[in-house]
Amino acid sequence: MMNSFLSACEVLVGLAAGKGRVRVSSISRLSMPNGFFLHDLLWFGDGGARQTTISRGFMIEPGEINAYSIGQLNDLHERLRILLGILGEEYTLQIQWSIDSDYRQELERYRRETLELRRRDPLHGQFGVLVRAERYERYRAAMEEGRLRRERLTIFFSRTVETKAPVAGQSVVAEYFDTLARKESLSLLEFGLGVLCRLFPDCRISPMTDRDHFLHYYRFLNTNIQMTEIDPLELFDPGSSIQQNCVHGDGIAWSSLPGVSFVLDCYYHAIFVVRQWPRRTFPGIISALTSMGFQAYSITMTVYPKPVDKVIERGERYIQRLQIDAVSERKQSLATDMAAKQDKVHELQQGKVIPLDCLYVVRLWSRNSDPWPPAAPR
Amino acid sequence: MSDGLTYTDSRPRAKSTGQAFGFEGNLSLPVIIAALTSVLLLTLLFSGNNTLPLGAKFALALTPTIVTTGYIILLRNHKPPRFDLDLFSSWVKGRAFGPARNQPLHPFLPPR
Repeated sequence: MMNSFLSACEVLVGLAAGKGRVRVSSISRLSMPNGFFLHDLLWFGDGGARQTTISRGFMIEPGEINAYSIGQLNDLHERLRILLGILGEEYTLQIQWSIDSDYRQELERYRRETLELRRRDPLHGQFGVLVRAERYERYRAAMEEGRLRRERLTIFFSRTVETKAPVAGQSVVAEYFDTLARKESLSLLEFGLGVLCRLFPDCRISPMTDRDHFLHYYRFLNTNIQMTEIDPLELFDPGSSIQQNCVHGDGIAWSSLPGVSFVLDCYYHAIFVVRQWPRRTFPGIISALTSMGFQAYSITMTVYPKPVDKVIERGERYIQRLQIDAVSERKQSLATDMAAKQDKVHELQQGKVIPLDCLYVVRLWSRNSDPWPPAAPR
Repeated sequence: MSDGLTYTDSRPRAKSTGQAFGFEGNLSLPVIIAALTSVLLLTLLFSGNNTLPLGAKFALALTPTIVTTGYIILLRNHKPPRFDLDLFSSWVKGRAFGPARNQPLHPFLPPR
């Protein structure tokens, strides 16, 4: 909000000083995120933005966590700790997990190969073509009925870069943004791929391209993707914004329906946000959530690193406050909270722990507003 | 490698930010300032030559305290972060959300 206010002041001063046309960003930070698919990046800004957040996604195909031994789970826990430590204060991490039955791209590739086989050897390849065609139809029907299961794990690394163009002139500014986007895309690729390949050599890791980013976004916002006939990639236009490409309707937050957060794309969505972590966590705790018997849900976890100095300073202020309150209110609970805060500051100062903020969201959707869960377990 | 599973204590309840006069954190501060303002206002109203009835003077002087305390109790105290801003935003923008009316222009592709 303060940034928007300062930007507005800067524009007014620029206009008063007669600087002519000032580039102003038309992307609001207070509403639905918007930007562009740019050189394999999610570019959350336009030509007028002073600062822009950029993201690059990586598709991860991990092993089956339910089959891990205790040693492997502990090892995974340690590797995830290292990953969070590597983020520093510069990078934000978002992990998205979802499940669907969308194998459209793979099935269409299979169909193209079948057609190619029929073209190359129309006589001897006939049996193979028949078998492949039957398999394609069977899997296609299963996909449309939602009987296939596909888990998707995607990791996004994000950071904010300065994008105030230091030059004027449309062609020069265009070149500036083009070069900057290429450079940042390479930088995020190198960082993300380097970190993930070193820490998770047992996983298949693929950096996402613009088309992958588009498909991911489209799938996220259009939950009925496997029911539609149209291939969403045919709708992709790199010149249009993310919202123009992926949002094709309005959402409405209905408070009259219990358990429904909003309605979007003819589906009722419910949002659950974790406000308090379980008392004790352990590696593999998530598998209780990821092995539900239905498909209409997704999990998003965003990790925001926080500046250590500021967290320590705030912690010290709270400790001082709690010291006074524990005496004046005569409450043992406040004294216990103070001791916990003292431990935390102690560990932060020693560098044993790093401060992170986390937003953990589970979204469910269903054709009907009632009853939950959205679909019968399959 | 240890034999047991690694457990992490998340210390979920160590979140207290202190409390004073029933308000959490520093939320009692605006109420105290509002109360002092009310006292100052009441003093001014009693010392000045005005024809307001006694009840009206008290009502006028207590307004800052009532408004501030009401705001803190209803929208800030024991509420999630940004509850007041989100509520205000939903009043202003309505309950619908969708693509922005003014879409941004691509940073370097020419507009079509």
